[in-house]
Amino acid sequence: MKLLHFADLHLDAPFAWASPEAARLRRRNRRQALARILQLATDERCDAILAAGDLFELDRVRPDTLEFLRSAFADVAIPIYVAPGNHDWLSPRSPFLTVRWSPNVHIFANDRLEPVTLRDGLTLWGAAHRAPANTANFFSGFRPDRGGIHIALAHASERTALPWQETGKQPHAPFEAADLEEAGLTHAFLGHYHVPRDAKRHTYPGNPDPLEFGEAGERGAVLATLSPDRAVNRERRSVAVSEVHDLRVDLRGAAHAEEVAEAVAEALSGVSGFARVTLVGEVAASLELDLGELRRLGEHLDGLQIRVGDISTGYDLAEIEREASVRGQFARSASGIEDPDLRRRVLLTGLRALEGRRDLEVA
Amino acid sequence: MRITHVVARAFGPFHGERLDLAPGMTVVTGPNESGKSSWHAALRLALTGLRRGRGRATAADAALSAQHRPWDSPDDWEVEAGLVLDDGRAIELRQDLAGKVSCIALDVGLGRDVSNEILDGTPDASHWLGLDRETFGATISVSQAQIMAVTDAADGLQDQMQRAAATRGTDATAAEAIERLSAFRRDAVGADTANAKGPLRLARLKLAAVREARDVARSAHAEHLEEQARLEESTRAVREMHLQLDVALATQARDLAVEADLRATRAAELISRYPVRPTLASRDRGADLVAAAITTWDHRPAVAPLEGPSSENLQAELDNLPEPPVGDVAPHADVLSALRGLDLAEEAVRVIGEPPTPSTAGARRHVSGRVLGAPLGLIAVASLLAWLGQPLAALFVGGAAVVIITWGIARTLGATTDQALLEARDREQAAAWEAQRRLLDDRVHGTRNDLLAAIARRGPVGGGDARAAWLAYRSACEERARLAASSARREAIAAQLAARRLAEESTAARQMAVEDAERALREAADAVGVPHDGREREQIRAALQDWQRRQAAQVEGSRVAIEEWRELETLLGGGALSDLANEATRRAQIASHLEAALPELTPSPPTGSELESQIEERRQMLAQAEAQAAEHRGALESSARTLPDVAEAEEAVVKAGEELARVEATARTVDETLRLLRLAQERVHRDLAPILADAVRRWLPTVSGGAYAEVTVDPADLSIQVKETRTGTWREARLLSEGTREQIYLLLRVAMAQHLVTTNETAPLLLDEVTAQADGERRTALLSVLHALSADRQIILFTHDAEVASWAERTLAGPQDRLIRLRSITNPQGAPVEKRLSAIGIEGELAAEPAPVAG
Repeated sequence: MKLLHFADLHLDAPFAWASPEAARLRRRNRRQALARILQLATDERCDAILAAGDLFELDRVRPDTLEFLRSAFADVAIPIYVAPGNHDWLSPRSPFLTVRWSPNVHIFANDRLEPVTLRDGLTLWGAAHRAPANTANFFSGFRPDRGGIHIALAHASERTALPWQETGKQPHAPFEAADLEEAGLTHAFLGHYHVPRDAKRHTYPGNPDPLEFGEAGERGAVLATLSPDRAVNRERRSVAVSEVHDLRVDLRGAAHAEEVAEAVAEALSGVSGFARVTLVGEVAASLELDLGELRRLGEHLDGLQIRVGDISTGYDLAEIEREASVRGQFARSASGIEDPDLRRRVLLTGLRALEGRRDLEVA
Repeated sequence: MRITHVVARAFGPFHGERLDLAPGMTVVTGPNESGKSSWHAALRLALTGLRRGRGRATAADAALSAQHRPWDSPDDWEVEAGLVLDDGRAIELRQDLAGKVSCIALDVGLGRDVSNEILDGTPDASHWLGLDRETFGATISVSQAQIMAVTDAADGLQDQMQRAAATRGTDATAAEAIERLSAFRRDAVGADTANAKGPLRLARLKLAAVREARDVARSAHAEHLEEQARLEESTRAVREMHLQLDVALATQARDLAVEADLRATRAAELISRYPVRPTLASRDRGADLVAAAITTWDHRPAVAPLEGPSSENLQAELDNLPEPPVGDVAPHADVLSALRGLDLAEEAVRVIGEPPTPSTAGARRHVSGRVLGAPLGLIAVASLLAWLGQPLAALFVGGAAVVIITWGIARTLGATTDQALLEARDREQAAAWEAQRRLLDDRVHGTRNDLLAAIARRGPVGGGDARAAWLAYRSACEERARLAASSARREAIAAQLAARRLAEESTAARQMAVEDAERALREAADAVGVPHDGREREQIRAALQDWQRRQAAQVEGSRVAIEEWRELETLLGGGALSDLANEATRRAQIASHLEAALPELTPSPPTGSELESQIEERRQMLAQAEAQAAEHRGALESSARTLPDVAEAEEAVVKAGEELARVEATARTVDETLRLLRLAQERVHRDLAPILADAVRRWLPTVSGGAYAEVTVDPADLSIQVKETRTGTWREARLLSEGTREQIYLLLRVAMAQHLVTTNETAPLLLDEVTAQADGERRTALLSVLHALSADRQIILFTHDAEVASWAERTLAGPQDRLIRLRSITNPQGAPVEKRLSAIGIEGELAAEPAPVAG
């Protein structure tokens, strides 16, 4: 049996760093990613599509998006099984309950595993998050009440993988990998962790369209083929629409703004889609860094974020601190500031002010 | 540190020229275009070199390059210099200013490359002074502009000192930096008060506004989901109502189909039963007779046998009873009352007894008895009189009795022994007794007469006296009572007789009615041919009733037939039986169609006879549900059209938050920077002030010609005050003469140079046209101070002033000093330009190669 597994699409999630137009484009790209997933399932003649949660953001999803989702699901002639996650949890007002989904869509509605017979001898067990948090382990203590092969679909957190996830990731419906074997499950198709993972008895496909910059791993949809001998063959397919680049530009002692612009432009040449440029390296003390001007270099892109990373300004602070001048005294005092970022900003601001410069705002 | 020489290998207009400098004061003079500024620049760049970095040069370096690169070989730009450090080391510096590659600092004595001691990209000798390229120039160079700043502006001295104190003279003063930062804070942050319009306040307001918008968006989104849920519920209700209605309609259709089938079946049945129209059977004429006879018979009166004596017997009994007597059957009350009166009168007479005897001693007790006896009799008489209705007489008699009793008591108790009194009282008593006796006698007579009168009123009086008459009367009453008892039965018997007679009459009438009823039965039987001979009346009646039932049945049957025929006509409605069958089929199909459209699990069909009203009710409920669903749908569509985007609202909040954070970070940064700058300024000035004061104090009397001997420097702003020797008055230095300010400035610059040098080296001073604005006396005074200062540090003065050259000729005679005259480069005595290099000469007495200056 061939299944297409995806999760964590997060339709209508916000993009705080982007301009409103870029954010809207990213959200439109998510929809297109879903269209690619459904098309992939059709092209590969899949027997079922498994959506392991966080399909949309309950608190933000727009009516237009819901209609898109409903009609997209209705247009594909393949059964679709949905296990609501912590972001699209099954509240009493959930669109999962209020939208007239097409008959090929089955939405698991209880916070315990419930069966759907995919075919004789193959049962899909699915569960839903019915609250935004504090959902318990779906698998602990579970035993199928029938024979055959049993697979699961859920939005859950395998405990040992949490440290490798994005910062701030919270465990929802946590479980141990061993729970799956004890539960008699051949395989669990999961969502929640965005970092893809192909474990022995479970799969995290990763988010199909980039959510953030710097995402690692091959993320997308997973074509899973179940063999009668219970083997699960997995093949990852990219369905991403958004092109996202995370670039690091070393300014290498740039002395003036034009050098910085040249370095950034060089990094952005040949790049399309969305890019994040992190400026690092040493710059001359005389450098005036104008991020607004640098952002204009990304006008050919769908979106550009410029941020200041580890930049060291070419002040010989050790030398300055030896001065008997006000500058020297100021530098000595400022070097005692504990917060490194504040220390850097105060030093640069004060030194620039003493130099008579106008660019007193430190990025 | 002292600079021994500088060699312009390829620098500006120079190629291979060398300038040797004295360890004390060197004056380099020449006309315009003699290369003074080039030598000045060569001297500085030979010590510091140029910064080596990626990319383009800074503006300052570019300006230097443009001004001082060799005119004819720009790629060869080299300069050298010799130094003697205070520790005695002789250093040769070579700077490749073009490529910045072949640069070296060589310890001449050891023959060792010491570039690393002072390497800053290229060797920078300012590092031996604890300075850098920028601050080196600011610290050791004193320019004409700086002198002018001191002389032109009243607070130029203070400003120069502050600038030097802040940044070693390269940039702004601390006060300027603080002011610039404060201005920047006002522009970039602004106040955080309610009415402020600066970036911080605006950022807060913006954040508050977008938060509110986000909350509104979230609320609208939640409400939209609620509305969606309400629409779903109302849609579900509509479906349910539809289903209910469909079930009711299907039920109705099925009922109609059943009804149509029944109609068709019924019509078929009736048609088979009545091939032709039936006629109504008429009622038999005898039916009324029979009905009447039966009714009469059924309502005949009951004849019950009479019991008791017959009327004849009762009449006979009545005849035997006596008539009621006339007169009293018991003594009349009047007679009894009269009799009572007589009895009482006679009793009173008896009671009063004999007349009272006169009183004696031994008869007192007897008298007492008598005395008491007589009043007692009077009391009895009084009672009688009262009973007879004679109250006055009763009162008189009763009063006499009281008198007697009183008197008697008095006597009895021995109240008086007066014999005459006793006799008088005896006489009174006797008289009273007499009177009473007479009264009672009269009374007895009267009562006897009353009795007779009473008796006479009741009937004849018997002979004899009153008592005899009474006895006769009483006997007569008794006799009459006996007769009355007998005759009392007459009335009852008479009544019984009358009742008996009525009963006998009624019975007779009933009997007659019964016979009439029987006769009616038989006549009715005859009329309708029901045999009755030899039958009992009840049998006849039963037979008639049977006949009646048969008759009624017949009539009823025809009536039913007529009704059913009408029913048939109604069923057919002018059509044929086939029409009804078709209608039944059609309705059955409709019902089946509606039932087939129902889902498997349907609610229970409506029950009860009011199906039509239930259907109507369900229609109304469906219409209401549809209206509500339409309302929710409209609300949902309206909401969807105006629904704010939550994600965008949240993005706006994040952006506004970041902007606020940026502004707040800027505020924190600027505030902390200002704080530290102010502290630094205060501290440095505090440290610097006494140093500057000492420096000025040492030379102040000399440079001021004794006018001022004391000086103070304010740590707050490094303002200088001097004390006028003559008056003891403290004056601000800015109010001093220009010449004095110039000199003080130079003293301060020396002090500052020493203060800012952070190593043990003594920094030289490079002065450029510092006397340009001074007149003769000032110039001389200034030069004298410089010469004096040169005892402690190397001073190199560039000037075009001929007066200065003259002074130098006169004054700089020792081996520590030197005068160097430069010639014009562009017109060295008319020689062509290509030969100018050889035309450059250095005039003046050349000292021997200056020996290293210790310290």
